[in-house]
Amino acid sequence: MHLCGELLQNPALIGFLDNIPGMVYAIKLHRKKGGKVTISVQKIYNFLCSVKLAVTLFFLLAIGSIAGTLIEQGLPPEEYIKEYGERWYYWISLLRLTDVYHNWWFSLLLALLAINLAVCLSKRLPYIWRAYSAVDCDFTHNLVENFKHHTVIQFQGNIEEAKRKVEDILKGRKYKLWFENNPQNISILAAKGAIGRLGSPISHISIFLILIGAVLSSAVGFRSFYPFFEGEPVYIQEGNFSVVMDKFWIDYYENGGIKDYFSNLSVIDNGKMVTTKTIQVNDPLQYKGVWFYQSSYGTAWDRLDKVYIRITDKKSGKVVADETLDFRKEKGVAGTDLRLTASNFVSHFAFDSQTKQIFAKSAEHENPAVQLEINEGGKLIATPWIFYKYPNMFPIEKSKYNFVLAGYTAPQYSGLQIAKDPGVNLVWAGSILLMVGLFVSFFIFHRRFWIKIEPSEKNTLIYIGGITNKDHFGFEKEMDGIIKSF
Amino acid sequence: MFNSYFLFDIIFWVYLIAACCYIFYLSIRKEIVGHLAFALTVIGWLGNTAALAARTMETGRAPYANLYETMILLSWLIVMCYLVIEIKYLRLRVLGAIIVSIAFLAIGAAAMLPYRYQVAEPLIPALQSNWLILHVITTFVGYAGFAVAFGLGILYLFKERAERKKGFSFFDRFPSAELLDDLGYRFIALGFPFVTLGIILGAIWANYAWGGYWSWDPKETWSLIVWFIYAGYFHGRLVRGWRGRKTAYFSIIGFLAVIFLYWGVSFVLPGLHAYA
Ligand code: HEM
Repeated sequence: MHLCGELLQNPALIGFLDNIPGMVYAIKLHRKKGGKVTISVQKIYNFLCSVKLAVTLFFLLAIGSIAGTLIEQGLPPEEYIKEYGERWYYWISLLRLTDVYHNWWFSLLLALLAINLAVCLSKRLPYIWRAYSAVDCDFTHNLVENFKHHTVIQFQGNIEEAKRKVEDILKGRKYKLWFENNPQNISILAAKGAIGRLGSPISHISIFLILIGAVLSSAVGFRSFYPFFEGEPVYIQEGNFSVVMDKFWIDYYENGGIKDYFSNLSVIDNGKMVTTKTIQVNDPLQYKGVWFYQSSYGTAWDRLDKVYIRITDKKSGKVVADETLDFRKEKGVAGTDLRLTASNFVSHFAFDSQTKQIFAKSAEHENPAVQLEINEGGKLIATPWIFYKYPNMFPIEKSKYNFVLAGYTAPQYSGLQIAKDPGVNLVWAGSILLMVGLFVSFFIFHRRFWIKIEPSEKNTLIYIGGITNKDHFGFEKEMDGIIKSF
Repeated sequence: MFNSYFLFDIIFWVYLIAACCYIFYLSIRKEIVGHLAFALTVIGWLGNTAALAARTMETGRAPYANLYETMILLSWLIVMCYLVIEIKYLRLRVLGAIIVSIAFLAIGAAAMLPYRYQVAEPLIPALQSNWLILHVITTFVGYAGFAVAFGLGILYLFKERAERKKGFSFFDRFPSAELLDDLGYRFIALGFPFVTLGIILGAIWANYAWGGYWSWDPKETWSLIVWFIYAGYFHGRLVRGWRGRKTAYFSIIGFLAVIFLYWGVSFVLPGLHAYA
């Protein structure tokens, strides 16, 4: 009952005291014990458990986050210099604004928040527990009259009748009651929604779980992107098993928009097929804690599927064959002594005259070219590049034939995000607790009434005074209702 | 005839007239005008409900997949908040002047969107998830709470000034500044848990669709910024005893951040959420 008294007159102070009596008292106690604790340790401690620090950290984290959304993250330095100029780039890189959310100062702020939370919580827990469980029926009617919300009711009837009436009314409103029968009077404490007090510590603890989960995620989790090709197993090192994509397909809407896409996956563990599942966006496969998410699809232009070659006889100009080659697989051309392999492909042909290397200038199909290995009469006679857009540009002198690149196709891949994240379950546990804590804290209010029943000359006086930890407006209505019921 | 666009046009006008009636009611103090304003608000809200239902039938899915549809949802929720206060605390009818005006502004903003933002496109694969429906609904209950608190915050600043000046003023009919402050807090306390739930559901959904619950894309980051602002509000209010103008400014700044999160991020910053 140390909370009562004149302090409760001031509604702002009620909010203040109701929530952190712990802090005020602990600091006072600390000061009293003075001698043993040096000032600086005490100052650090006070700093670490202050809510001012929490609000400051929220503010700084918000500012940092805003910076991270205004400046595009993770670009190469040239891009920033082009956009902001050398001078600004100096500051951007000094403050690590190119990777705000993972840089040292953002992590430091989060760590400080966690410490702030832990220190503050450990200090407040006993006081929260006391507010939650306190039952004290030893009080006088003076105390009751000190509450901001209080009244005196003239009750026609004796003390026992008054008590029964109080019991009826408050039990009807789902209050829990404690009685103390004194020789002269009766003290009653009525309370409901005490559980609402526990919402706040639950939600604070949950933030802790979420932070730990997030640290675990980034420390030991992995996440990477793999293109899967039909029928080609991919070995997953993190789980020591393999996965094959058996089939990939796309469903379309009537207007041609993409409705969904699917990959049929089989898991092969220890040489045996253990499970299969058709995954789609929003429906992943999980095996041994490793998740496979359908995330995209595309055409793998860095490798070809089929290459179409038209072979003509140099002398007669007649078409000898229209041959379809599998990429990097040698094939004999029927009716000739030719064996051909399409061995390389570039989408945008370029030649580096210094290193004498062929490379792709871009991923666009500006100047696609295929390198052909021509085996004629039993020996390799040439490995020319032939160009889709410039047929017959460089005839092959040693060959009887001309080779024209008539077309090519590339295989479709199914893009899978593969992730193993041991932190995620902690994050979900924390999230559930957070929601429980918030709803309990915001929608269940701890309302208490102190009631003193005393006889007077003519009848019985009932002193009622009460407080709530939140929702003062609703509390006034409740109090009015209770008084009217008498 | 009763397609969603037609209903949308109707509620646009009904909310506009209702808001005007409320403002008129403040100045002339005839109860009949108040009743009219209230009746119009109820009609507007029923029309709003019908617009959402029509949209659902037209598209065969929950009507929360683009900016336009979510604006209709938002105005529906804001007016519902108002109707709840109105029915629970009858004397507060005058608050309609500010809250219904905000709902009208939401509808008006949706009406300004170019047509290509209003048409119902089929859902892209990432959006075909029940988590999405929950994510959007909870988020928008939260936004609605913040929007109402924003209106109350603005009203608080005017009312508080009028109270200091004393004498007759346009704001006399509004409840006391103290009550406005408390009500504003109540709506933020309604919005905060729902926005938090929305963020969590969004994380669950992202984890299912993309294999990561948090990727710091601008929309996620801004939702966290909004969350920090309101967390600051609670700690200031509950622990440091902030009241009145300070918290009114907070609820205004917080909602401006919500507007940026909702519109600004979609149009100004690039990212995963560019579609909604
Ligand atoms: C991200 C971190 C945090 C979140 C999400 C959070 C959330 C909340 C919420 C929602 C409330 C209101 C609870 C209620 O109405 O009962 C609250 C109250 C409070 N918070 Fe925090 N908080 C955080 C960090 C902190 C930190 C670091 C401190 C330490 C200084 C702190 C100290 C308090 C105190 C003393 C209260 C008073 C209310 C009470 O305990 O009943 N919080 N917090």
